[in-house]
Amino acid sequence: MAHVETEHLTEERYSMTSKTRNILFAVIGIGLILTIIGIFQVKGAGAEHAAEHAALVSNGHEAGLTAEHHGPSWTARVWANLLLNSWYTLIIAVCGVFFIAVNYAANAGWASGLKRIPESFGAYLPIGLLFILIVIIGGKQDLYHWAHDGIMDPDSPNFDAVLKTKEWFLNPVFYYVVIPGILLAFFLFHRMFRKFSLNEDRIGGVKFFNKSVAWSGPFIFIFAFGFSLCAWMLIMSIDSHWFSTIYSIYNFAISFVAGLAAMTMFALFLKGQGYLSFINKEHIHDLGKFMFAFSIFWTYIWISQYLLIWYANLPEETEYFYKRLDGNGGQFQFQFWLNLFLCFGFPFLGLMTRNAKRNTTWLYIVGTIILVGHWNDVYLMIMPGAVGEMAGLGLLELGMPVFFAGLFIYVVLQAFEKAPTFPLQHPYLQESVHHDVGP
Amino acid sequence: MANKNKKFIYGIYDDADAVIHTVEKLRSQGVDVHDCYTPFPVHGLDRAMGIKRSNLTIGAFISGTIGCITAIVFQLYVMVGDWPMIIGGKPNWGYFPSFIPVTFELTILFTAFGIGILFFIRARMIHGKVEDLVDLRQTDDLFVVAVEEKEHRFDKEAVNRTLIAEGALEIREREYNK
Repeated sequence: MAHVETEHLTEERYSMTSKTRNILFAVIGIGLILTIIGIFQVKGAGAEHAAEHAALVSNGHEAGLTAEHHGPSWTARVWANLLLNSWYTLIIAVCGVFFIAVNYAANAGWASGLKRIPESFGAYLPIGLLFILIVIIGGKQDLYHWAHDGIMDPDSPNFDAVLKTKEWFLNPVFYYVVIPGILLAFFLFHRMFRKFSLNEDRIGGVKFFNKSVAWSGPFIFIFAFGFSLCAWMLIMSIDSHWFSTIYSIYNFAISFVAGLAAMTMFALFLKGQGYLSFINKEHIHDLGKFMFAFSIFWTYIWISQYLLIWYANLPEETEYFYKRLDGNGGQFQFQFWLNLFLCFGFPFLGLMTRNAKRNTTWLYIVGTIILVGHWNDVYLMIMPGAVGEMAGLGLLELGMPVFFAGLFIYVVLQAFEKAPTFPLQHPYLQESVHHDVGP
Repeated sequence: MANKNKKFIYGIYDDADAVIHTVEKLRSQGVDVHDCYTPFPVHGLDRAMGIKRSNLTIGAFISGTIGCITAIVFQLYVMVGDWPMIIGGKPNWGYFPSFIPVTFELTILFTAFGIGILFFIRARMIHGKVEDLVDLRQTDDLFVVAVEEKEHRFDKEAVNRTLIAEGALEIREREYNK
């Protein structure tokens, strides 16, 4: 090239303002208080529910109540909520690591200036792992039917021959060792990419870039299998008898689109605070395109799962959608259709035009809708199976996501503080700075 | 009678950046650049030329919508109206999922064809049209900047000087009969 334009950039560090910090602490506090009030509400409702059943039983309506109806208790709702929110934030955090690895593997440069944002997402992984461990250990009996006593034991009255065939996967080794191990591996990969990135800042050169490229392949490979195992074990096994071969991709689609929405909003927030001055409408436009594209990808996976089950009409498969559409007199029906609107209709029409993808305020709105929509999506994956008729939308369902959102943002911003806001020595930084999608 | 012939001045370059600079310089002098011919898309050139955003996306949206509506109407006509069919015990009316794959595919098909056809019409690339190149190598390694010679307020010497100053290999003139 006859001439090369290079922008002179200097190192820049983010520091959380006390206002941001106070707001985040307030959000975490409000979330926690609402959660605790919610737990007590749920407990009260659970006691009433139990009393009703006792009354019915004493009136002689025993048939179909005592034998079949050992329905989920109120604790199931609390555990299910904890699983929902910890899984949702965890997959968003994992998406950050995956996004970096994909960009390295694809040799993509446009996002290298934004790289520190997804990189910071990884800092949430150990906390996410901790919450998952709490759920795994505490909520086992409440959430997972296959984990009940005697299910795998041919001599027990609870014996279930169908689940016995799945014992090679649904067993304590996978449950207690492999799943946390995979999540730990994700975290270690994150540490490694982070270390390469920081060393690159310190030493420079392309050595660490090449190392990152070399390791991103193995990470994506392990991510593909590990993420699938986690989705099957933690979420799909709630509906123990049912299975779907597209389930892990479905979860991945949620992870990627929600992660991108979060990334976009972090970028907009940091830009609003006066950092990352070289990030302009071009980068925001590309992030918007990603959100748009992966909303459609999610819909494609959703319809692929729904359509095949609807068409084949096999009872053991339709059970899943029966529960979500008509179960308990259509308890989840509204949320089911709302989900399609929030995750597909709104982003599809809302992000279609070019101006929409370049408008900061609008991207905040669509990003929030996408995040709320996919929370509802995960809700629909977990609640009908684990909680059933006891499920609902109360203070607990309001408070816990608020708490997790505050915690996630706080952890990410704190990790973001610890390194320069963009990788100054990244070989593709200039490409990112001059990124241009055309008029 | 006004002269209806169009005259063009072509500057031929061998460097993409020089083309961008020439265009910027000419436009800053108040000269309208008619067009640029390059063997590959040059980043930043359309911005430098001040080209407005294409309306092709609106065409794409309209063709997609037509495809979507066509698919739905056609399926409703075939499966519900003209000869109701029950396949696999599914209700033929009131349940939509089985229509979705065809609707999806036809939307994409119409969008792809629509945008392709509209592009060819807009770019006047009709099949069989003989190419009219300034220089054969503009499809290989040369870049051409075309400036239309206007009758009024047009300083031909200044344009020539700018083209040469920015490193034109040669300058050509051509006249077209409308």
